[in-house]
Amino acid sequence: MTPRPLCQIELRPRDHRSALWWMGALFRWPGRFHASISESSSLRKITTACLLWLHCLPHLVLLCALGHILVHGFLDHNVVNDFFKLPRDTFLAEPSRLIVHCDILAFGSAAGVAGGSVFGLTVGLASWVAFGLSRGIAFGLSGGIGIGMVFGIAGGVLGVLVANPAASWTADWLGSIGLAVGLGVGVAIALTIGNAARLAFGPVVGKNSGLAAGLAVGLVYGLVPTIVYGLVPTIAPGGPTADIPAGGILRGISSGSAAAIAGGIAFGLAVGITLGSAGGRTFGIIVGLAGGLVSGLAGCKIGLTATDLPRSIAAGHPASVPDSSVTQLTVLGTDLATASVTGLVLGTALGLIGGIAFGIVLLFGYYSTLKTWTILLARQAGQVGDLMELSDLLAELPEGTGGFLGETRQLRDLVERITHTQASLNAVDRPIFREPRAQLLCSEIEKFRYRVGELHDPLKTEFRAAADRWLELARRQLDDVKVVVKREARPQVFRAGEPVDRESEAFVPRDQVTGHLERQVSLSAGCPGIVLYGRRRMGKTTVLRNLAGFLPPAVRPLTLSMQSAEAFASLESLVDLLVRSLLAAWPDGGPPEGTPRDLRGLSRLLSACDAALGQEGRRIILALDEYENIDRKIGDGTFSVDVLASVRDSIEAHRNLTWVFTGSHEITELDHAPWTSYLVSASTIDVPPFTEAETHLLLTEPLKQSTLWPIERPRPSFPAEFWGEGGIERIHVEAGGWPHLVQLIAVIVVESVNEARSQQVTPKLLERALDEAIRRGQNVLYELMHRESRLPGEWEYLSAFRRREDQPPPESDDIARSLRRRLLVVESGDRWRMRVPLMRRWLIQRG
Amino acid sequence: VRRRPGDLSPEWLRTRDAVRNYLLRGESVNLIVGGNARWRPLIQDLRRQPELAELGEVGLDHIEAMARRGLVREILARCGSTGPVPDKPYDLIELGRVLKARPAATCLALTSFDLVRHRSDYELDLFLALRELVTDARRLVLLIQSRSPFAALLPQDHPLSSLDAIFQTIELRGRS
Repeated sequence: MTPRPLCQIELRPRDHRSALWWMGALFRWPGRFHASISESSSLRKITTACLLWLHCLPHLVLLCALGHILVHGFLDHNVVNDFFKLPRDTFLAEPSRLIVHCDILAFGSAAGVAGGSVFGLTVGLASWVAFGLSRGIAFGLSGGIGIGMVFGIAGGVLGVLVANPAASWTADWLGSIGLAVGLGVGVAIALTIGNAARLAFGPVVGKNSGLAAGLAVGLVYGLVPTIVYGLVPTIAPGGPTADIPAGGILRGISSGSAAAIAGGIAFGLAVGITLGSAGGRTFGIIVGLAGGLVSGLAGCKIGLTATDLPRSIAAGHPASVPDSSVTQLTVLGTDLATASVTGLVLGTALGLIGGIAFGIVLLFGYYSTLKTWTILLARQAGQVGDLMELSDLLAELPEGTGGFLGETRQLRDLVERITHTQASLNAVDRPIFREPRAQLLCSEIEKFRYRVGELHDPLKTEFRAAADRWLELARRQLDDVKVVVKREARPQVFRAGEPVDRESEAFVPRDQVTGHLERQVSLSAGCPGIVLYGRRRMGKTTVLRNLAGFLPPAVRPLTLSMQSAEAFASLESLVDLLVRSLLAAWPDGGPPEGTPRDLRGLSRLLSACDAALGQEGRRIILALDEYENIDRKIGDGTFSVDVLASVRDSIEAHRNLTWVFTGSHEITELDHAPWTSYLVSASTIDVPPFTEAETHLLLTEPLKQSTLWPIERPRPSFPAEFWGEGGIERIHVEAGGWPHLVQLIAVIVVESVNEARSQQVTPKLLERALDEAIRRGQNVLYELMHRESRLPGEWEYLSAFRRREDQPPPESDDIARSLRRRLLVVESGDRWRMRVPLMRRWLIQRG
Repeated sequence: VRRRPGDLSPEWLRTRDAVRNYLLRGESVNLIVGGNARWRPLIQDLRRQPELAELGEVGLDHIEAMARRGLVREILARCGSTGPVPDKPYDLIELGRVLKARPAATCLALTSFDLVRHRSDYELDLFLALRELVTDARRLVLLIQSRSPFAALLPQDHPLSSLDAIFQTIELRGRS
């Protein structure tokens, strides 16, 4: 049939079949049910759930009635009563009997509806919170229907006890009831739990949970009443009717205990296995024990009430007939309090045992559930479209101490390397650098595939299959990047404008600078502080950022940018940043306790750090980049000059800490604090322009220092022939060795060569690139030439180079000194000319 | 904003491609717009590129961006962070914290940047922080749209005038 869409179902006869179809679908295809309802509004979802429940209600009542008639009516009439040697019943024959049966039916139906509603509502609400409204509705409905059946059957059976109290003392009869109840409850619980788990965690877990829960609960509900009720007549002295008080007590105890054990174990299994497998073993055990205890208590109470309440009803019922039974019930009523109290106490104890028993059962069932869970996760991992998802996904892998559970941590570490490599691949945008990372990714996955073969199943089998799929993804990325690299005739590795990362961008070590720095740091008497000075765009920050690897292993550089908001927002934030950096680089042995908040605390920490470094023979370079900002912040009152006093104290006292101040101003140029008095002994290291050798190395082997390429594999390079005859020398001269300008010209040259699909730089192409460089470098050249000309007449003197290649020195000594310091001019006898031809070209064309 | 036929002129397309290429390479751009050049469709067109789909845009002409804290809040909102922004000077720390916590560099267009001349509340610290995020930390890629070159927007003695060196300058000419 073609059912009406779920969201269109109303409480009307023509929708009844569709509603029943959807209820069937809920158990048969829970995913489909969920998909159909998930798009609706919250109000509509709740309305639909209520409507489905109402559509099912008549069938639930009917089911209870049929069950009762089947068990107690036709069978009871001729077969059951004879078989069990009970008084023959005249079902439907006597009006009074009919009333009793109707009463029983009503009790069973009411129990079914009430139990189902309460369970469905509770499970639905809990699932709503945990899994969302649509899943909550699915859980609630399926659970409600299942439990409704259970309560309906149970209610009907209890009704039998009401109707025929004499029969309740027959052990065999009660044993049969126990088995029937066990079967019904087991099936219902299996359906409910299985369906819920299937919807929440997939078919495999659903099947296992349902099976486990159904078997266990069926056994418990079936065997416990059988044994307990079966024992009652035997245990009770004098037989079932002789010693009523003893029988009452035993009935109270037994019914309470049975319900308690059953409730505890049922709850534990149902909730513990399902949720426990999702949340972990500890979670499962805790939930199971707690649930067992709570359900045990509740079950005990229910058991007592259920046993005695119908009797009380029956005793007061006008149609209640057997004399002996009335007597029994009267006496039984007097024993009710004693029975209840004793039953409650023992039932609670047994409820606890039930909870513990659940824990044991759970541990046995746990391993297989975790195995299933692991398989499920492995298969999901094999389906991911992005390897970055693996970390999060496999974080849910269960861990343990034996078998495959003891190997999941190792597996996760292996997967972590794959995701880390994928992350590094994602972080790079230039194809030339993506290629080695993509290759690394492939080899990491192949390595994973090999190593996972040493693990136990299911890790071995399942994750090998997943690795095959991951390898496909990685190879696809590699192929894609190869296509782009092939199209890009010459890789663009040069970069102008930002500090260079030597791993992925053209970089040349500044041996002269680092050598000088190393000598200063290694002074046995301690370094008196260093000012690393260089003009703008000269590569100072690049030197700082790439110090590691060019200094002895015992020296660790720490670089803090004074442009960072954390560094300049306030004195406290600066101290905090310094403290965090120091703690991150702290020598072995661990830092002292407490986090300094002020300069005094910072000084103490520096002293402790210095001592720890001394013990290990290590040193730390504390480099403050753009240190001029400290001066500015002293000027606007954010910092006090105490900062400089603290630095001076540290320089004097801490031999293993070297302070480096990097900037494009010398300390004599800073005017908000007496820097020279605080850093009186500081030595200055100049960061000069590239030498011709450095320019040559940068242009021909820009990635020589990168560790991305294994040593045995060739890395992108630009042979000298590529730059044309005299090309490298021409670029060096035109840029005056100014690192930024060399990189800028190189960027444009490579772009132009690729655009022209040329193999080599021609003089014409280089000329065009130089013209383009002054256009793209407008901001830099404007800054270096115009904006830094602060003295009166300085810019005018420079502007005069537009008209002539050389000119006499400026008349003002200040201007002459400034131009020399700015590295803009070279002196040739009594004539000065511009040191950087590109700057003159800019002056002529755009300046 | 709809694209006009004129927007597809070779120069417009060339400019768009150049801007896109720089941004994709993680290099910041100063887009200098002349005359009535259609720069808004250009930014929208950039956003159609899958790699630049998350290109956020904050206009300095928006009233929310007149004060520094408001500008920071707008930038953070484009990054998906809608939490409270602390007062000065800690607003910039929050900006850095959010941008550095993102998995990849954030691409952001600051439009009508000429108005920076009239935004004294921004203070030098904002430009310092932006420079650090662009250059040292490499967590921010800026597309600055202005009618004058960035270098001309800062006063002569601005201590952060070197900030302009980080931008690739691209002109989008239009009929005046």
